[in-house]
Amino acid sequence: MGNLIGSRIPPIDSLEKVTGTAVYTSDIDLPGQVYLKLVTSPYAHAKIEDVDYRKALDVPGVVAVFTGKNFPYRFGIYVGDRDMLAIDKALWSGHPVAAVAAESWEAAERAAELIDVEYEELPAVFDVEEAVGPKAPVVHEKLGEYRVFPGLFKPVPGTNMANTFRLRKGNVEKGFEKADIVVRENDFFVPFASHGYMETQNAIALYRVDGTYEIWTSTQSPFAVRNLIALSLGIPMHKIVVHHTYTGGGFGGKAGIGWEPLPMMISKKLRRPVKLVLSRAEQFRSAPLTASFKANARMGMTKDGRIVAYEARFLFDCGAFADYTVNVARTAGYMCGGPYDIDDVFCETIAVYTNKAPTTAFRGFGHPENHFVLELMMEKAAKALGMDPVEFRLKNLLKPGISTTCTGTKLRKDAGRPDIALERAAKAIGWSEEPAEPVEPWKVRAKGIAVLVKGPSQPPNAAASAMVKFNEDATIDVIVGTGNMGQGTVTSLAMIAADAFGIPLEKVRVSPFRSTDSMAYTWQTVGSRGLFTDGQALMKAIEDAKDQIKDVAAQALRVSKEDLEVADGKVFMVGKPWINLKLEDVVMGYMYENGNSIGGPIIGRGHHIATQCTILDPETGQGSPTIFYTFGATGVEIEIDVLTGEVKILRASQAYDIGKAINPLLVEGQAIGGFVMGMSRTLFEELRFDERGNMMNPNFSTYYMVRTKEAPDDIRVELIETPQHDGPHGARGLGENVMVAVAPAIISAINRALGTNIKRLPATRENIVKTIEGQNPDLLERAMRALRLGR
Amino acid sequence: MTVNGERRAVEVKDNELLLDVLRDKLYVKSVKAACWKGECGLCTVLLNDLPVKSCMVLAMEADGADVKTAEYFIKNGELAPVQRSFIEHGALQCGFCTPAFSLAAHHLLQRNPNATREEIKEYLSGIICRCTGYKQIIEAVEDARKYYQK
Amino acid sequence: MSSPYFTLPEFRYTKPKTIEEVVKVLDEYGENARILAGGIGLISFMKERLLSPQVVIDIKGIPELRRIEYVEGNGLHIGAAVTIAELQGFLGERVEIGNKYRALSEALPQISDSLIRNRSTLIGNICEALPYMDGYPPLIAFDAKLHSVSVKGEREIPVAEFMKGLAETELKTDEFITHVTVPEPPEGAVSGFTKFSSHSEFSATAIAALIRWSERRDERIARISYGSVSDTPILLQEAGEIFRGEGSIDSMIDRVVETALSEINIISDLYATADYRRRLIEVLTRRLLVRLFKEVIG
Repeated sequence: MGNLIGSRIPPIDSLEKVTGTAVYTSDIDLPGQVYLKLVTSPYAHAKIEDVDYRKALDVPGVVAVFTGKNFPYRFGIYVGDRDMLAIDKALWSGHPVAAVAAESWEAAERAAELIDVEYEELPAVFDVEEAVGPKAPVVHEKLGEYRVFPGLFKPVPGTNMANTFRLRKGNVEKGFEKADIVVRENDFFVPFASHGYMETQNAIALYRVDGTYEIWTSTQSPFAVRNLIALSLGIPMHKIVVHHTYTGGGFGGKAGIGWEPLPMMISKKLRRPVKLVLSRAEQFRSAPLTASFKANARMGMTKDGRIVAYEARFLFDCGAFADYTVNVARTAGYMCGGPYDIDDVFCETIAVYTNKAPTTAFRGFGHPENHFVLELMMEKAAKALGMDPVEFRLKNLLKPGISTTCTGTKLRKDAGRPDIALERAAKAIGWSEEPAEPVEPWKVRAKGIAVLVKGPSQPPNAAASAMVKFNEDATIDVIVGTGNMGQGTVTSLAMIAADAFGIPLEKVRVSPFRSTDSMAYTWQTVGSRGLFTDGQALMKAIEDAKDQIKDVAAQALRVSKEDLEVADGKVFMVGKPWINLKLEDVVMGYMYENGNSIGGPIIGRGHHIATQCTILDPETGQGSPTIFYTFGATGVEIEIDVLTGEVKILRASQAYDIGKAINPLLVEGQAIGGFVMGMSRTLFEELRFDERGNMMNPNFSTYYMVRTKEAPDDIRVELIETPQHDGPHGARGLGENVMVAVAPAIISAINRALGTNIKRLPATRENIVKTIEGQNPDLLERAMRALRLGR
Repeated sequence: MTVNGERRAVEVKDNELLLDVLRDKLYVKSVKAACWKGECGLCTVLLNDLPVKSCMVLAMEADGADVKTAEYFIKNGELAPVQRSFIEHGALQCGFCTPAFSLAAHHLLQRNPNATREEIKEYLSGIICRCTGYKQIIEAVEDARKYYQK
Repeated sequence: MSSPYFTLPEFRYTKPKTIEEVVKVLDEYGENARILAGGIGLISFMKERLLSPQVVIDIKGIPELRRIEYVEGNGLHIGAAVTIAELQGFLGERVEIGNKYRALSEALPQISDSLIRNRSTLIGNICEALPYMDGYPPLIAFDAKLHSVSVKGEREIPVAEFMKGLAETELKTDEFITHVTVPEPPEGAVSGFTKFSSHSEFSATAIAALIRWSERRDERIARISYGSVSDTPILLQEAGEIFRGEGSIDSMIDRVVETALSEINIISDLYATADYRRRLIEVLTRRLLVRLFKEVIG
């Protein structure tokens, strides 16, 4: 073994990225390509009577116009409800109803402006509670006909219920009987939000005369794209080749299937390459967002601070497509109790269709939502008990090897330590000390903290594979399927391979390109699973390669295979290192002096599949849903200007038990980036709709994401390394966990500072002032008085 | 136009944007695009050595101008010091915004090698990064100041 | 506010070398010709298909319009093609002038962002004529005048009277702004600018104030201007009278706030509600005036 594991190494693709020479899908042009432009519905719910595109066809350079009638197919990963162009009716304001193919963007756009669509407006439903009621307009009349992932989801035809999931652990009513104190809270709210990845969705497709489709796409999941296209269109998988390259951010929004089928189907009709790139406005209005969320909860505790019962009800507003969000909602439900050991738990979580923009996965996958509720309930409970919030949490955290999770499985011994994460996060922000007095009399300070747990939410059989392919000079191509959207997994995988063979990192390459016909399979790059699953597959591939090397070397050196070890770029005899062969002399086969040869090119292979996951019980939601849990905690110290509502993050802490930090530099990058994304969603981000369902702020000026000006300076990352024995070098995943606890940490700090009870996101400056006006007018009055006396 | 040190002649229409001509006609893909309306800053180029958002510039306005993108430095010798610093600090993730940040930061430090943290934040506030949380970017720029202080 | 388009409508680009040529094109094409300086507003509007001019006139090739100059006694002259970054540089390097026009010096680095300011012009900011344009309040506080020209001749329009409504201005279709003059501030005056946004890039409230304090009441001057709070930027006419009246400074500040809240027709929009703007008007006005009074009387 080398000494790479645990080193701070810059991402292996840094040079390409910093020079702009890294090739993203949107950078790819194919000779003879046509450009696609979408025409979208201005109505939230409308029957499409007629699409008149005669004028559009007269625009020079226009090749063809397509509508939903051309492509009567639906796609999706869990509930196949997505069409590419509206079939029969438009389901939201922004729903693409036609696509123009032209020789240039300019011609396509000019033609798109000339398309006349005749609509018959239908009653629309925007409110999620109204949508589950009996009189609501039905968004998907043919819900019963859609393809659904077997065993996991049950949409109810004739309603807007895309899925309902119930978790029952113990008996929650009996649990509440044991409680001395019960706290309850209604109307938690998280708004529609955009992933805000910088590279908008795009895809280029090429249909070949032999019936093969090639698709380049900005995706997290080339294999899932292939699978889902094949399932919906009935094309054999080897005839679909999905290519993935550098992806300009994903955050869940490029998981599952995207727009790939549209250019693909059009390419077949036109026999030309077809390129689709969404503009930012289209990305906001027409592409999947993250669902809006409403919740109520109730928590019961004994006087000594033990939680005995927890009940939560979640409504996810999935917009017009619930495809992936049904699983977000389900996951929020089965993980509703988070990192706490509670005997009696009930949760009902419903995924609901409305006539708003469609939704999909978003970093955190239901956990930012359920932890927002849970951790604010913990604050309320601690207050009711008169206990310190950290102490109260410590008392109730899951204990590895002892406690059972919400889904009724015993937490494994090596699952990691939530208690240490909490203590380290608290210490890093000086939890035990009162914040210093702010300089200005109208400012207040406070601290807040929240704990979290999250594991990948994936089907129980999700698999991964990897190959280690040696070249003549003993350099290595590591072949994996995991995607590259900046999360750093490929760097860690390269480090693992280099370390295992004791060769310099420069001798290992992980191509930025993935093609489903030549790369190792992995289900998807989602759920913080990449390093864990593909890493394990790689560890096995390394062992396999070493085994093959030893076979050849044992024969060549005339020693027993068991006595051989591979390290430092050599295969050698343990205890007699002078008996060795350089890897170069083995990996393409070994040639004796007389030319006789043995062995052959070494390709190590390995795979990973979850072996202990189960499909959750349909009645109780009990079972084993995931392959690991990563525990962590976020702490903040904030300062608020009471008069303007401006929140400054004075310091923040991010503590995670990640098993092993393969590359702390990149781990810190995730933790810091996740904090700021979480902070941005907590304080700024909300997509707003008018009364007709039109998105009011589909741009970066009015959908404000944090910029350098607001970026906190002091974010401390605390890494705890309790190894998980089946993780690569003991590592667990982290990419999503980093934003799960941010919102509750910041909001509880705000509430503590202001004496308010904020439970809706975002806490914009305006919303904060409004809340103080309503809930603590005295504080505001005092601050105003201080301002008036300020001279 | 001179693009990344090379003279390039290209015929453009009056209504074409510099961004589109660079990417679609000259195949200079090191300039990225993400909002197409001056908000995100990813299409930043050095136009006569001044960082500007190329989606807000007509190609005709750049007639005869010198245009540099993030690949200029390595194409013509070596990385800009601030680019090296970005790498060392792990100040990039998906990398889509990195070319823009590196150009703007390079210009800032050339003009003001003693830029304070606040000045750096202010100067870079027109470029959006969704991955990094900016901290390593800002620290990379701070750290690179020493290379510009001669 | 948001465009699905990558490309611009078709137009003819022209880059004249003299003001006379510009005027001639404007005379011929009227509203079908548009001026391009920094291009930020024009290109955005064209992307959104709010404007589809036949001719776009790039005025950056006219040397006079690139002029930026300060003449003692006459004040500042800022040409229509001067970028905000250039103006920032000009005022930053000449500390005395920068201080004299403090409200402007403070406003410039808060307009949009540094990369946009490398292209955009102060006059473009004014001509875009949206309520949240931060160029207005400081120019109004200094009683700046826009200078326009057409075939019919030249005229002068006070910035305070220029904007008529959303993207509507006093400008006729055959004329364009060549420069703005910012008069010498009254002897002994101080000024400042402040703004605040909630959840968008745009100001929810922006205020510029110019104050000259004197023991002699008739020598007191106060020009306070508000942007982003109503359909058009506002000069609070009553401020001068309030400060020339009786009472303590504190009570005068109280009355300025009261008057601002009662006289301004405060709007609700995507960037802030009227309620929040009321709060900001009070808070920001007080903070700004307190800061300025500290400067003049310690």
